[in-house]
Amino acid sequence: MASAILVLASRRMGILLSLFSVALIKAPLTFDWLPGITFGWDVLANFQQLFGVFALLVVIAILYSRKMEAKYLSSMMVFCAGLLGFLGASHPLQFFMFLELMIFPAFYLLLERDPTTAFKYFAFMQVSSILVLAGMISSGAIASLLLTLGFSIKMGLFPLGSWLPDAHSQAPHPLSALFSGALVACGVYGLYRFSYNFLLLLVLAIISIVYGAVRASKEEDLKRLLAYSTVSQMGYAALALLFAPEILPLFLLMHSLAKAGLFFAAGSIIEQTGISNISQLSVSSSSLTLPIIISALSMAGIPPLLGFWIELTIFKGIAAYSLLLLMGVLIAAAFTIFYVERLVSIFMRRSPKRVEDWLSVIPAILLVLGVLLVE
Amino acid sequence: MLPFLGRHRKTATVFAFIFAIITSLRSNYLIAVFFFILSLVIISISHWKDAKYPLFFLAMFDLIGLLNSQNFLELFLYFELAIFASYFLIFDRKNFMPLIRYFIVNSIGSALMIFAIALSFMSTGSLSHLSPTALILFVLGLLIKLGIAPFQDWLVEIYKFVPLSMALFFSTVLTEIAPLALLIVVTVRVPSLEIFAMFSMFLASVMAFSEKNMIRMLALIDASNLAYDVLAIAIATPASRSAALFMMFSHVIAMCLVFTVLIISKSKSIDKLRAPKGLVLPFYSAFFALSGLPPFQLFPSKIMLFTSVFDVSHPVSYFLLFNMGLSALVSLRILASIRGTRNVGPIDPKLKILVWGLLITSVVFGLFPRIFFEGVLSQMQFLGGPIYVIQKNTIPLLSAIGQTISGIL
Repeated sequence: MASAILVLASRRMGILLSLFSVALIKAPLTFDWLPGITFGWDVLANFQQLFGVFALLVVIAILYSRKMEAKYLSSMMVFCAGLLGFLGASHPLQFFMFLELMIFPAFYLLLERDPTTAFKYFAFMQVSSILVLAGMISSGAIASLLLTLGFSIKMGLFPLGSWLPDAHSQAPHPLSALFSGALVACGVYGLYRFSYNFLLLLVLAIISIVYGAVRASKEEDLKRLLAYSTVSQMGYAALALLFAPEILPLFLLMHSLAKAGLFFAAGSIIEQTGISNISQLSVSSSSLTLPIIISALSMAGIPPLLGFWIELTIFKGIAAYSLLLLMGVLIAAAFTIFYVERLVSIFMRRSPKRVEDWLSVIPAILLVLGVLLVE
Repeated sequence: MLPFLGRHRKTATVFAFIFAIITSLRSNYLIAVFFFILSLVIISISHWKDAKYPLFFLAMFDLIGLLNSQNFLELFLYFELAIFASYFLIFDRKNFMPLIRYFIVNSIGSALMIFAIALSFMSTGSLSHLSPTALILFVLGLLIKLGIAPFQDWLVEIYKFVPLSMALFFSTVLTEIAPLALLIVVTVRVPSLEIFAMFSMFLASVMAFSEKNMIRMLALIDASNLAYDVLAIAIATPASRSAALFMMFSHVIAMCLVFTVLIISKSKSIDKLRAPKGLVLPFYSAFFALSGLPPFQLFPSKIMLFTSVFDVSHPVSYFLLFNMGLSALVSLRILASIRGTRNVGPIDPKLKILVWGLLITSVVFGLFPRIFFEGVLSQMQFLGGPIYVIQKNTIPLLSAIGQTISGIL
């Protein structure tokens, strides 16, 4: 937060302080925020690696945003503070505070591009936060229902998360990467930390997997395609939570790296070619080809990539619950391959344009190394 | 008496306020320092007739007198003096009808208050305590003067007709007098007042949502925020009373910020609302601050209020949550009305400094609200009744930095 203020005065000092702050936030801490309300900050042991990925994405996003106007860069930093704060929060009100903290900066960043999307985002996030807070203070079935509804909006599950495709496609590229790589993961993490309604989440998950994949297969805009794939992937995240919670941190880690990497790359492609229509895109790149292919294939669950091992564990969990459900999910999963193929096809067309961006390589390298985390 | 003498009344008033700040600082009387600094802020951006500055000075001093009053009669007299000064402050030929309405409503409130004091004095012989019936009448009188829904009409009309700098004075000073007086008067839980406050906040929010005039909308948001204060006061636990004070403080900062950006953008109508070029970020921030979102100050005060209400009554806290959602909708409506930016020409550097100063204050208190409880609340024990007083130990920022460094080592 201090760097967000400092960056308004000195861009370089602000960026340095923000990077320094990300390096510093390892230690657990507690402090009295208000009388009777003590906030603590400590990341759960099984989410430490995901937090590390979030921190890395924040650093990359800030580096990507370094040429933005100071006020937008400042907003970006506040958003990052909310993101990292949420994962380490311990008090229910602290979760709520960090969720709310992300609203204004993202709204302001979206406002410049598309006011309608900004207001849509604001309205959805506000409703989501109120539902989450109501759920946190309630108990029993009502609490689960409210929390599921509230966090499903954050996750972008269809039909509750119609803000997601618009916001992801209209946001500046670094923010899109954080939206898709980290913000939606916060929704799943919230459900993991509190509680959820099994049946409602299951229904939303299956609908989202199918809807997201179908829409992504038909979408012409590159960023919207990625946004719809996030809707679909969040359906898988919900299934991971329901049937294989032990794999959830790894799923979120994979999704964050893959999706953020894809959005960073997509941002560079659109900026350097000036084209966002996927049918018209023809790209040649030494730095982006492999990262995009690895990220896309990992999302599709192609062996031996990380996504394959994770989806295998989820499918095992579903099989133990119901074989019929597994059949349905497998059919839905087949749709994923259609949009992954479209994504990869941009490197296989004639007369390509040269695009280079070496910063996007980092998430892909980690994604490949992530296979080592599979037990 | 300095402001009342001579021809240079504005300069004399500024000197008087500086003198008051120094004296209050020497006595460690932080709440007075806050209001006197606020006065200087209002003076710096206002262009009133010279004759109005001494009246402004009088109103501010009466506010401080009210906070230190020893009995109900004294409290009533200071209150009346402040209101009396305000009549002349807002007097203008075109404001005549709203002024008459303001005068009539306040007179009814005053009549109820003085009747309550007389009634209680006749039965108990004391001016320091009110009998139960007298207390109800006194509180009713205060609520009428507060401008809380459904008695908000005079406040809405005043906001609409007076210049923006005068509306700023009303929203940050005059409307805060009544809740402070209410805080002094109500020291035990009053369930009927809770119900009234809930009804009032709901009504004000619904009316604000359907309002088309920007200034009237702000007046209704003001009325809604006042109802939050009344609810916290009616709960009357140490936490809720502290929350009420924090809420008032936050509300003053937020309203001050909103009115200042409106003065800069020269916007009074919601249809013509545009962010001034060069101050787009503070312009949007001001409305977000008013809607009670982090990292701005109204957020922790609403959270403090919410938790204190939750400890006492779950149904009331659910209603509060519902109303917080309604307030967010009102904010969304304002934000959705902002149509791009407007070139307002060169902005007065004083106003720029003020806007950024208020914004930073709002963020600092929003992130580290404990500073308020350590620094300001300890000065408020003279209000009577239970409030939190936290031992001064560390500001959380220092504590957090210390823990982080020790963790790394």
